[in-house]
Amino acid sequence: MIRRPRITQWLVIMLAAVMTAAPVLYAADQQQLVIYHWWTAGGERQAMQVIFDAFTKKNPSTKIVDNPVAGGGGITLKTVLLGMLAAKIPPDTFQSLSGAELNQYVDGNYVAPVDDVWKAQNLDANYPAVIGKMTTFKGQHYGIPMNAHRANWLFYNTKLFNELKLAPPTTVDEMIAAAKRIKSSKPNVAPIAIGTREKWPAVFLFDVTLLSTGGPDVYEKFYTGQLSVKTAPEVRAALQKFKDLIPYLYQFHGAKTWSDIAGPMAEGQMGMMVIGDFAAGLLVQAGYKEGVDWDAAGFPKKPQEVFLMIVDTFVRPTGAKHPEATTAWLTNLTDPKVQGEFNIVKGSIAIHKAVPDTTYPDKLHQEASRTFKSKRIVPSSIHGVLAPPAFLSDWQDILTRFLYSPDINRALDEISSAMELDKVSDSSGWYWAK
Amino acid sequence: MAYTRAHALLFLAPLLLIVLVMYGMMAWTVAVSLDDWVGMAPVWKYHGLENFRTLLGGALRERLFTSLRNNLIWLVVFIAPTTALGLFLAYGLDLVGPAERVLRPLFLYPIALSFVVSGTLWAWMYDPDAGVINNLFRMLGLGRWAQPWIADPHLATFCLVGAAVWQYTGFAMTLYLAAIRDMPREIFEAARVDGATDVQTFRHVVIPNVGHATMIVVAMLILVTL
Repeated sequence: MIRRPRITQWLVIMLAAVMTAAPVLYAADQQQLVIYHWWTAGGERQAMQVIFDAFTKKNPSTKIVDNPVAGGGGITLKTVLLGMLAAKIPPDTFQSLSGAELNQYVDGNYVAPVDDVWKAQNLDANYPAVIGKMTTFKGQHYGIPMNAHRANWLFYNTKLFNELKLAPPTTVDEMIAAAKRIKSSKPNVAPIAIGTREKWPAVFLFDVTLLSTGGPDVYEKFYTGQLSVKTAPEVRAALQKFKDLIPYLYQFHGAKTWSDIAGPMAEGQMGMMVIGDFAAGLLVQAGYKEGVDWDAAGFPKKPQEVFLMIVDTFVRPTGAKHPEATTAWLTNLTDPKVQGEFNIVKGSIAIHKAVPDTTYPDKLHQEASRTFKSKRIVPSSIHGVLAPPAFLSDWQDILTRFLYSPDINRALDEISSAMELDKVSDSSGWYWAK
Repeated sequence: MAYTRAHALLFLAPLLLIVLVMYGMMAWTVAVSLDDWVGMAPVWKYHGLENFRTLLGGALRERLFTSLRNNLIWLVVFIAPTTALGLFLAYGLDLVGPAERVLRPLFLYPIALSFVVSGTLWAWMYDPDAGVINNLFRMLGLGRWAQPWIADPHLATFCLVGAAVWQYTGFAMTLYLAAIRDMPREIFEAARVDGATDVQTFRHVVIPNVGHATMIVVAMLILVTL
């Protein structure tokens, strides 16, 4: 064994220490934006890149540390995030939905108000009032949204409808009539396409049924627990109509996800599909052409056409390490140009009023943008935005069970006890706050 | 060098830490179950046995019993065939000798797949319209055997059990093969000298001696099921 002189040993150790410490200290000093989101699917990643590029152009010295967590609607992200938030090491910003979902973070004191950005960008004037409502709790704004998906589209197979000379239905009754005609003239075609393997498409179908039989006011009251479910006639009527739809649904819906049935619908094996505008992106990517293979109409159009909105927001976590980066990020999101470019790639629509309808290249999104600006906007219940997420997961189970054994009285009992268990009306005070 | 008590504590320290954390977590879970915690941030509000009352008598009763029933179905319908098949295959592999080198990895392969992969695979196969199983039946003219599989709420659980049996049989087989190899060869030779056929050897020599392995296999499969 060679005995090295002591001093050399110490020099080596000190050099190693300095070399490891230096980049760490340098990195900690550099301005960063640690961001968590769930936009990982094809199209979503590219859309995020659009915003990152715009952000980097305005803030060249800030490094973006991107942490995408796959899982639509943020189901996986929440698990990852809750640990970080409870341990008080929040990221600089993270993605959330609006409404009751966002309220959970507010109640846990995990997010700070963003009124400064809201006022600086004049969002009271530039965003529709409903969006303000969905992000305001205890009198303050807590999230900055940037895009909206529409959940109440009726997609249908163009060739089938042309052949049978059907007009796109405007109410659930018309939908049932169209389904009857499809079933009698083409017994191999499933009139209504639905894939309930992930359960939530059943909620989409029920939502449009409730909008058609009861209208938007009943919808809002139902999901915020303001209706006495067992006695209110509107809920019973909606469930009855929902039951009437069952014979026309694709018979193996339990085995398919929503993306599995979009293709067959465009190919003509199924007739109509109630789903959000994210299906349009899937169809276009698969090579099906709007106007040739498939078309979409807002649904229902009576008693009142509404835009059933799903909105994503970014928040300002309390105790974030780089607050200036957070503010810069939130401000960037409200830029109409950034919103326009992002939404063309993402497949949703911008919510800033200054973004023109002509921004979007296709008919569906132009119509969505028009409807967003002119018709009433109602927040969609999906993901726990109106009623809390706990109710929504019970609700999905109730509806899918109903599809297999449509007992209306039992369903009403289940809804009532789920609303009580998940404290729906208690936690919906924010929606009705003036 | 003399080992002192300090050494003992130092070496045991990591294990003690793990034990503390584990039991600490269990105690924490019990404490949370007695709480009224709704929402995200931890809320420590003593709620007594109210949660258990809701579970056993209130709104969640039906869900609890459905979950328990499903668990029971899995315990019985999954473990028995997997164990039995594993034992048969292990004995079969022991009999074929050299072919075992090729066959054993083949049987063991499914366990290397993640649940996501095998779940997606079987979901495609079980698909009532486009899936392999139903289309195979139709091709052979046995269209009336085609089932809704996972689209049928009564069949769905058993379809899943089938997929799990496929995935874990190799695992049971490997453990049993080790147990069979462990047995002294003289017993088998004695049985052969006595004129026992392979089946008789299986019944009278193998089965009585793999009790220990069965215990391990069943225990591990219970862990997997639950």
